[in-house]
Amino acid sequence: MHLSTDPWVWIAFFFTLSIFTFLWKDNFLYKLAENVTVGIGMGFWIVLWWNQTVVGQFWTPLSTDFGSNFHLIIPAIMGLFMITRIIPKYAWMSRYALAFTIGSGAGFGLPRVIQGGVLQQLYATLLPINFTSVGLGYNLIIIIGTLSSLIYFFFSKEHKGAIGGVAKLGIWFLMIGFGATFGYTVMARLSLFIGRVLFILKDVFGMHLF
Amino acid sequence: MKYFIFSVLIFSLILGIPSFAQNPPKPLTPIITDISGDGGNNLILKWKHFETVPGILYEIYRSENGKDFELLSPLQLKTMTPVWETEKRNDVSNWGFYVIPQKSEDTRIINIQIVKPTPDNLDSFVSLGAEKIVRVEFEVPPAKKLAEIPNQFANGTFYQIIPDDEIAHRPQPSASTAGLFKPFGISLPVDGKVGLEVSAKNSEFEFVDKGKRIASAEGEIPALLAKYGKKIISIVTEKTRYTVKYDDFAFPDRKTEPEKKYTYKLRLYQVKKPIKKVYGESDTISIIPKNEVPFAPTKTVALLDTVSNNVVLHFAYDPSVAGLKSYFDDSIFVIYKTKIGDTLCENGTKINTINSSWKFFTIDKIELDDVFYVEVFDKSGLSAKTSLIEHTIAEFKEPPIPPNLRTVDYENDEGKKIAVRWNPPTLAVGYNIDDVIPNTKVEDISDKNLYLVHTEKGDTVMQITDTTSIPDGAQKISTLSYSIPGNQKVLKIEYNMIVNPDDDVLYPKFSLDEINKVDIDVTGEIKFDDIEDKKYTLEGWMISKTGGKLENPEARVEMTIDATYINNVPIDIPPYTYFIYRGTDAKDFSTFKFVGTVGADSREFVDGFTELPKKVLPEGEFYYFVQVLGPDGSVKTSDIMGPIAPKGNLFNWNKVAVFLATLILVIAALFFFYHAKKGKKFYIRPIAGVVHIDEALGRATEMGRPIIYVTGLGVISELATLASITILGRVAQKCAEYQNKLILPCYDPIVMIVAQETVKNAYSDEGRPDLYREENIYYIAAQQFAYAAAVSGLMIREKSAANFFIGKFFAESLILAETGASTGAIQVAGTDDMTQLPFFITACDYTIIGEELYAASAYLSDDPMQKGSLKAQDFLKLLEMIVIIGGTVAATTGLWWIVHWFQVLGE
Amino acid sequence: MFWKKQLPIIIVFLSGVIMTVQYFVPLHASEFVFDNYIKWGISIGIFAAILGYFSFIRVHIMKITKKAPNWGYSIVALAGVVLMIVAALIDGTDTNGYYMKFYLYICASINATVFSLLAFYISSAAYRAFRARSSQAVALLLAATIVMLGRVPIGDYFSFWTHWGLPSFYDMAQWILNVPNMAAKRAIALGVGLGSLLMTLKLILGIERTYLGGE
Repeated sequence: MHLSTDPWVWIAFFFTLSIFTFLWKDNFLYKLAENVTVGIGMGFWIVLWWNQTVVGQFWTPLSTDFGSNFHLIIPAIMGLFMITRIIPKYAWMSRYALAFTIGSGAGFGLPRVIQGGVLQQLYATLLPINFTSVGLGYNLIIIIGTLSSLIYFFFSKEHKGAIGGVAKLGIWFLMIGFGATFGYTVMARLSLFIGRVLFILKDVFGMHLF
Repeated sequence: MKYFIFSVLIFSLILGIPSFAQNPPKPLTPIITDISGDGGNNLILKWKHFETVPGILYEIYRSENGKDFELLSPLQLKTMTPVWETEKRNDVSNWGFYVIPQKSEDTRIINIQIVKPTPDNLDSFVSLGAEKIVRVEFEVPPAKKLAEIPNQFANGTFYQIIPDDEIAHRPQPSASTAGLFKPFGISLPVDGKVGLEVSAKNSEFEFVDKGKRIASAEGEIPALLAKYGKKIISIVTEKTRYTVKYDDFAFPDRKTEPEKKYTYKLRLYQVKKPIKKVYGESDTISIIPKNEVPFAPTKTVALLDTVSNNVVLHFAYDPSVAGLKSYFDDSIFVIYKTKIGDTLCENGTKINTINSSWKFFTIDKIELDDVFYVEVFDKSGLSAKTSLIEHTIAEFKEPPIPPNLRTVDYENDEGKKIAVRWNPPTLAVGYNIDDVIPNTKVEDISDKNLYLVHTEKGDTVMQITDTTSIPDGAQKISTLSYSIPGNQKVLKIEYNMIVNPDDDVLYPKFSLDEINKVDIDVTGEIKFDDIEDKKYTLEGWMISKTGGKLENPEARVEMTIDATYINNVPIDIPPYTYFIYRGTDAKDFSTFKFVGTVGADSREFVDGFTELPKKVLPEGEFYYFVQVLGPDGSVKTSDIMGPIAPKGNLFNWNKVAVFLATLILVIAALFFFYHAKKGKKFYIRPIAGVVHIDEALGRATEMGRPIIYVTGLGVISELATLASITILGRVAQKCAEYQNKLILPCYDPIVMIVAQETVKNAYSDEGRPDLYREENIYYIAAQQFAYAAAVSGLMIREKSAANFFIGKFFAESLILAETGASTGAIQVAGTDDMTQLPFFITACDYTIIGEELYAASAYLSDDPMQKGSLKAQDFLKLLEMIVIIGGTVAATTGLWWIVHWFQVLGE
Repeated sequence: MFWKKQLPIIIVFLSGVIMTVQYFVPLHASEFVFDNYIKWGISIGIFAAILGYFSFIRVHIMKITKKAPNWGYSIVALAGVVLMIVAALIDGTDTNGYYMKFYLYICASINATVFSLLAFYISSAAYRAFRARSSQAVALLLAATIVMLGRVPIGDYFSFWTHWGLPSFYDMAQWILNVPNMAAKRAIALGVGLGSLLMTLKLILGIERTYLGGE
């Protein structure tokens, strides 16, 4: 065992243990760690925001090449309107910025969701059904599962009778799917914990067990 | 306030003090090279950075008047972590090696020689200035250790060599051809490569026998240095540290003008912080770049085809300058024809003037005593000539100009591309028969005295019994390994669809006897398993976008595949290369520049005008021609094609499927919106999770505890977040009605703004604006897990009665849901992300799954337009189901080109 | 009224239509719109971020001045912000400076530890699922167990029935992932895709206006 001499490692160790105490109950150490990370994280983002966004993506283009970047004044004005929220009488001016952000985001996403979320998903679902090999026989199950799950999400008819029966099959497929996703991520989540334990053993206490 | 200022001052002092006392090193003065033939527009600065010099950043400064320097460019340095090594191999004090410093031209970098004196000549070496080497270093020591003894820079590359006899005698892997073993009575069941284990070469044994030493890398075999040696950074004697490892830095200044004096200096930073900078500056060095005469292509070769009496000139520069071609400012070649006596190249007849980027030029109808020379002119009018170029006789088989060579405006672009295309669409096929599970057999043949010998013509195997006559570089073969074909074979067809977009080809289809296979994803290969030991007939063809086969003979393949043994037939591509040129005047060859090259495995060259800046479009009309180069050096030049001007396209036809789908979506939605507005009533079935929202709110009212609403980590343009805001409106209304406290911790500032607006309006609509508290809707944290930690803490401290997790979530979903569950709160969650839904389902009481989130806003509101949108959603879903059923039938019946509509055109 | 209600809706409509059309038009002007849409979004975001930081600081200062419960921790949070800004001003933002050291050894360490709590939470979530309330929950639980065991070597160790030609945990897990899980994923993706498309259309056409607020 070879204790670390780096004070930063010990600081990280202290805060790691503070967070783990939350598993027992909410306490002073956890609250301290929580607010430290909130404060330092916020400070980190403020500096990053200033350096990379305000100076890098806004001020520098305007100050070095105003001719081709003058149009940035328009969103800057809209952004200033956003600040008017502080003054209740003029808060309605912030809607322009919101309107642009949401409208352009929606317009940007519309064709891309059609391509990626609908057409490509459809393409992947159009599978041949034949029984020349076992894998292809399962395509039938995939198609039945997809169709029945889609019927589960049909909002125009109540889940009764034939529709109800198919929807029930659909929810079975959905639950099995959710279970598979759950099981798939368990190991990944456990490995995060292993990572912290290794930090404590190796970096703090210098124990090389593996 | 004063305490704050005081603590900041103390803090700065504490940070500032350790870095005050440092003597920054002076960087070495750079050497400047004026690149010749470049019109005086380029200079290269080169300098060495020795590893033991601390520094983080170089800055290069230039002055035009010797006084005012401007920063040209910063150059980051890779800083190595300092290590003080205490390994056994660092201590060489009892090895007996000495270093002799010698002067060199540069006063700051000396030459050194490593010697190992005998007891007899030790004194004479010491009198020459030899110093005993006590230590070698492979890493950069910390600053304190570096400062203990003086540092001296030295030229050369040195290694500490500790050869391991055992490693040298270990057999090394190699390979050879099975056929080479036949003359020695070793017959193998396979053709092709076999694995060998061989001994080291004699040169390696000699290297190892020299023993452990410190040696210069000069004259040693690099592979052996890498195997047994370690590169030294510093050689340390009792008095001096000789640093021998350095990085070469080069900086091109591409913006100089000729005949103008430029002065340069370097600045090396040790510390560069907002309030503190520590750096050293080099001496200045000046240069006046010259506009020299251009370089002529002195290695140009003339090949004469005796059948046609044509000569093909292949332009080439001397290898010493060929690498700098991109800097040259040459402009045109003038080609002359003359007779052998014209040694001064003055009396030639001008044949043509072409652009200096041309690779080849054909001169026809020459006489046998004709010779040639080329005069190159640069942009300022200076010129240089080659010497006389005599022709070499060659036997040419002229390559064909591809059929249907044409230029087209490239489709679906902004007007910056022109394509040169040709035919025919071709399916080129090769195959590989291989073992599925091969068995490897290893034979020991060390008693046969066989040696692997490397010659200029390739490797060969010789039997040598007389150990004194073993050639240099021969390696004794100890074992031979090969695979014994198993019972199962697999056939892998490799293919190349050599087409261009005009051919409208989708994918290939193959038929092996009666077995059909398609490769709809065009991966380049198809496998047939369970192949028997017999001959097969393979047919292949390409399918077009309309489902038909391409009819030209090159698009079809019919071949016999011999699967009786392991063999490989590679794809056969003709060995031609196409060189494409673009010009602006069909009659003036000097305007035609070389733009690119493709091989015979292409049917298209796309000219993207890459020399123009990104946002600039080409203007005017252009002409093109193609030169085809054959493997024997023959060249055939096509006719000039054009004129053609690139045009921007108004619509990207690759996206027509997306466009049609968008149209269907909009028409369906408008149809249902119209009917909803007309007053038609639409039935919406109850949605599980949404129905329980009221129940959760009621329970919170009973318990008199607050409600926490979490919108997740999405930004406002995320649709899940917008859906969450819609549900928030409803929840806020109920909170106003029941007078519940509503807390909303936000991750994104814009979401916070929108949420505040929504809640405020909900409270106003309910007639309770007095209950609205803006401080309860706040920006809590900017990072994922800080947010999760803060919200978890909030749930426990506030002891919320109901938690709503509706929006876009990532890994923190489980932390939030579980923490909330541990407080006993009723929890309703909703997200569209499949990966987080399982956690919400297990940890929350009710979950709104996937698209139910978007349906919720329609379900909760009384607005008929919202219900109309849900109807449109269901209608489109029905369409999707019909497409799935229809597409499945198409795929099952082999009509893949229908299925392809959804893939290809969606790109 | 026009400036307050109608104009924002017109802006939404116009910006939505322009960005949709931009996708289909390959012209230079279209590329210009795309590049600048991102830049404009960033520029607006700068000011929104100011509001967010203002909100954060205001909440904590109010807690301190009103001496609300746990007000001391608000001092810690604010001190953290100030510390990072001062460290960046004095020491710069390179990896050897205090700014990055605070972030890496404190903030990143805490974040990683919070993330690692998932290992415990996933166990308690699995326990909760064990108390299966319906047959569908049993299906979820079984699928999760099989996939969990199929992804670790111990699952193959327990699969004694493979001697009789039956599939091991790994084979069963692969089948579950490739067949029913795939079907469920597709259905959700198709449904979510459609839902989000209608939502987008409602936004562009001005039918969905909650985010703009009242008045």
